[in-house]
Amino acid sequence: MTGPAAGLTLALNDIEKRFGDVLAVNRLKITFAPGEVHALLGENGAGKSTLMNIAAGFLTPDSGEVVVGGKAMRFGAPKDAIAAGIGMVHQHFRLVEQFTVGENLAIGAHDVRAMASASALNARASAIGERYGMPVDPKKIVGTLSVGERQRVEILRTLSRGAQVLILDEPTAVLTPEESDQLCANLRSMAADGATIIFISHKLNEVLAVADRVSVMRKGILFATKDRRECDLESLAKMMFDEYHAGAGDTSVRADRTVGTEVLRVSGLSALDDRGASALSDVSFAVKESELVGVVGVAGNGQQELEQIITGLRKSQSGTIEIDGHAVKNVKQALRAGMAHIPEDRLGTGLVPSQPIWRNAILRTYKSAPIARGPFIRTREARAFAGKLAASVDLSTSDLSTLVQHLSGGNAQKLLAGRELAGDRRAVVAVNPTQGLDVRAAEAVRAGLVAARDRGLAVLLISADLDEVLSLADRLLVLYEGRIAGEFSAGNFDRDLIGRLMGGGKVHES
Amino acid sequence: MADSLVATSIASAIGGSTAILIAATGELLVEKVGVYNIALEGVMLVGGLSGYATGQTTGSWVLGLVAGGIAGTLFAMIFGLVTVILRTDMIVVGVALILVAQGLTDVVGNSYVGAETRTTIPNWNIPGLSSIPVLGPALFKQSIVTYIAAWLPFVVAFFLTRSKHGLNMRSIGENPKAADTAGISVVGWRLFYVGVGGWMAGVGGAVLTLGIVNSWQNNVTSGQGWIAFAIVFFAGWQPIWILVGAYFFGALSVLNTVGQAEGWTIPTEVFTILPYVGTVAVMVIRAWSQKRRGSVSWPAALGVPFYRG
Amino acid sequence: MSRSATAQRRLLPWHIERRPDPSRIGVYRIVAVLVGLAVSLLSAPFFSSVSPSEFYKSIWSGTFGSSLGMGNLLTIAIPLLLAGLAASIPYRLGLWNVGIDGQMLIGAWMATWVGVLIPTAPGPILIPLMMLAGMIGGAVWIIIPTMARVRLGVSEVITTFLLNFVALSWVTYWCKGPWFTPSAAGGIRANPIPHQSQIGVINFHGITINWAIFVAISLPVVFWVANRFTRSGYELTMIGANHDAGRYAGMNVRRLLISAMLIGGAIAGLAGALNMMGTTHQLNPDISNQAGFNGLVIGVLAGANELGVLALGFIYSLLLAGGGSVAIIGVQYDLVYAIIGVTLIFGSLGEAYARLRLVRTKHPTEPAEPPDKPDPVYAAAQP
Repeated sequence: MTGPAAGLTLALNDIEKRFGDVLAVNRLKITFAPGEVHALLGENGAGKSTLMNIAAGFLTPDSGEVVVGGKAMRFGAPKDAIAAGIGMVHQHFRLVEQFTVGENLAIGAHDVRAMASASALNARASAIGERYGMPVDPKKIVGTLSVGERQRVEILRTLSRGAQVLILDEPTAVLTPEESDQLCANLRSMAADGATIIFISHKLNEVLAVADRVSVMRKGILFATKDRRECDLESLAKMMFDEYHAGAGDTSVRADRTVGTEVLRVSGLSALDDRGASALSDVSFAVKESELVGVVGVAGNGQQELEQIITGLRKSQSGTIEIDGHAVKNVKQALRAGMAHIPEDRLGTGLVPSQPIWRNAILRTYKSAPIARGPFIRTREARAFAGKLAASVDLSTSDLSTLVQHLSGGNAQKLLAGRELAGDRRAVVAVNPTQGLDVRAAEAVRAGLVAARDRGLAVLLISADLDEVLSLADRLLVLYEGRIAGEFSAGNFDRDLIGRLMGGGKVHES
Repeated sequence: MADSLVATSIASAIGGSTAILIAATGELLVEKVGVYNIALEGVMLVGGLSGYATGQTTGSWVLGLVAGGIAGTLFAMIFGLVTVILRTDMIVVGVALILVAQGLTDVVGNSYVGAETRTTIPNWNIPGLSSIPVLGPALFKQSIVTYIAAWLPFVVAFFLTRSKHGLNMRSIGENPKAADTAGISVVGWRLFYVGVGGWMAGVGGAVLTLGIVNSWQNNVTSGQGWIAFAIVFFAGWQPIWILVGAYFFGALSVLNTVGQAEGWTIPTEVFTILPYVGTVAVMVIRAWSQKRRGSVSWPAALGVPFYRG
Repeated sequence: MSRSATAQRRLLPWHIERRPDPSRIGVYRIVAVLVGLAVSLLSAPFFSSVSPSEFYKSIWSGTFGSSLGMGNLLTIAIPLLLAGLAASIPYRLGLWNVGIDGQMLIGAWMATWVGVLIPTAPGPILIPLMMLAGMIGGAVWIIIPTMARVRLGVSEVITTFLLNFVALSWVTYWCKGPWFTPSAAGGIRANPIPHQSQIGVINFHGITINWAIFVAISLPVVFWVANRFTRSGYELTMIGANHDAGRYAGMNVRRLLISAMLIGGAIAGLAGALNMMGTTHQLNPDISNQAGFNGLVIGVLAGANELGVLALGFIYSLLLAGGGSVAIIGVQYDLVYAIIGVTLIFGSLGEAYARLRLVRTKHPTEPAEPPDKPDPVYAAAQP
């Protein structure tokens, strides 16, 4: 198996990029050498994706240079970058789902003849797969492939265009641990053949496992570049943020807290995903008053379906959801039973970005007094309610007519969380509530969840952030391939075991 | 020897559908890259007037067709520039352009109304084949444009599915981000095919004024552009079905005329509404069967403006 | 940093980018519309055979300049305002009602049918019944496209549009056949509706106008108030902005989609019925006179704002009335459509200007501005 042809140095000099009045990349200077696997680390919003998109020609920098192999380049489009040898694989794959693997690999390719039959395209695709050690079935339609397989096709496509610098944006976010290992092995061998591999991540463990050098970005600047051998989990974390939540802390205190009666009961839940494959199999658990139960797992193991079924947005195949003994089958019933929902897709689902703050604030309360009177909505009452809500979450703006799309991510989430956790709710389902937030906003949201729990709510926290769950939960469930793979109580959190179960490992590894 | 009524009916159905067929095929290409040029009716009007005017001035129907194509391309490019580059709403701009076309052609074409037509597209009876009883006069006494138009959908189908470029352009319509990443110029090719569609619709319009109606009147297309647009939906974006649709609709209108002449008791309106009801029915049935199978037939990115990054 | 060889391809000196903060789109659109209107009105005379002064004089006398003109203007406005409303309510949810003409026709047909069924009923009963029949007719006509869209995802643009032609044929058949009445003016017409159901006119400072104008003006206002201050209006607005959020909030999105379309259809049907009852007093296939198409333009340009529909509807009526009067002096009537089309395009351009901007592609070796303090990064700015 050969990797891409021998190496190119990629240097980014004084790159600057602004979006509106937000400086995403701030005069950044960094060099990537051939033959290395270089990890680009940083919190959400640090500017890693923006920087790499500039390197790969998807964005143009406001100023600064991209220097490839010693030559300064200006990329007007991704194909210019590819021509220069730089290819990028994004988190959201850019494949045509309706076409086959062979066709996808052929789009825009230069070494395909003008009139090519399907079999010629397929043969070419197989050859490409062989060459880079990632075999694929060219006849399959991409829409039917698993995520890991699709990523392969995406990588192969980039490589087959002659990319010698391969950039991957959070490649393992959607892979199972096995697929991640396979990918890392492939990356290492490509680097060994002289390619320049850059991958963006915010998973510290992974970075330590596979990188040669690590660069940490913070808020648009390069904070440090270190050789991997000089780093460990704690030093990496310290480089990334000011504060670091060192593990779970003392969980025995949490283990002793009193919980109340059962509020949310999930029994025998089975469901299909959008493609008809099994997403959940016979999932059962309960959450009590004043209890925070965390569900951890790699994204794509059924969390989305679980979230949607519990909140009434999706139908299950079998099994029941009950709140205080009342069955919940749709959103209306869920709301009536006292369910709150902080969704993963905050701007797409939980809020209406093009509407002002006050209208978003009353999304749950617009049907009842004092905001509603008969068929009407009383604007003054609505604004008063919104004002109180905004104050209680310490929203940075006091102008309630501001459109939500003009709020920062942190403020929008604070508004959303505040709205959901207010009032006399019985249970709340929060999904990845602190993803992409700056530290302060994340702290505020977490505090809100804890306060809600202490007030007596049953809190279900579905999160891919293991450390967050470890630091907040009273009980922890591991979700893997639609099943509960393990259950732990605070005080008995075995981080290694939990991590293994998340990846499909067994309790007793030989 | 007079040709039978059946033969001449079929002949005029085929000939009369030519304009729509060409325009619809062009629109298919445009929609395959993800744009819907709803201004088709306007483009045909512009092409029709230009073609007729050129025919009157030069006496050559060939030049007239060419002029129609050029005019159609230019007019469609206005649509393309405003919607593809500026990413404005395709429906709004399309409707606006139809209105502009209606207005301008009415004014400019006024002097051509009722004029004596100088040149029309001649028929070319294929020697030998046109003497076959019944089928001969039905199929082989058409103009050369009609013969070419009949092959167009097959050529387009072959090109779309078998050529590399066809694959590339289809990917633009399915997932422009994927095409862009693969190095295909989304904006460039969308503009290009809007132009191609404009050319074909313009030629279609010229065929209408120079070959079918053989004159110019205000709003001469009277909805044929809309029918061409609807045919693309009816055909499920498959070229062969465009052929079926165009001829089917042509046949219905001929049946209508024949029925009236022969004094059938079926009210003429039944024939008039059949193409429309038929299209709606086909669309609903197709959507229903696809819902059960879980697929769609339209280019996934149809109508979605493309932004990079 | 050395000036090294630049990339293979020459970049354009400028390129188009989305503005990070598109606001005041409505303002830009209105300004652009007014500019477009001005441009097209000023250049229009040159496309006609009359002099500019004759052109404008005839527009004036055909509209504001005379009470006959004003009456004409208001009469044209009645179906236009209602048609604009019929388009804008579905448009609030992103749905296109392109079938307003057909719904008007069916509405007028239903009203006529009521008149045929009970020709001797007294006016105060007959008129409301016919109006109701008109609304039912329009709603019925939009049901199939609505259900096809909501349950199967079939584009309502095509289906509503195609049904226009079906409606036309339906009405033509009845006018030529069972309800045919020979008339001195020729043309295809049905029997006149019962005398007591013809909408009476009022005389206002010398301007004669039938009282349907009050319906046409008040309905948009009523809906505007409803959308702003009622719960259903709130739901409509929120769902229109984001269907998923509506579902998340427990709103019945499907029901609202269907309701919005049915209301749109009903209003269109009412427009057809009123138009017939107030002007022609008998059914004919021209009853809509492209008001539906125009209504769509008005509804979309107004950005689904009912007050905008009122304003734009009047401007539109002004144009059409003007077009009618210049037609008398020999100008092509369709020129008016060209004016409207150009105005629409300007409106779109204005909106594009609000959304996009032209940015100079910086040369990579140009010095950057001094670095600011790094701001907290807007997470949504990540591609």
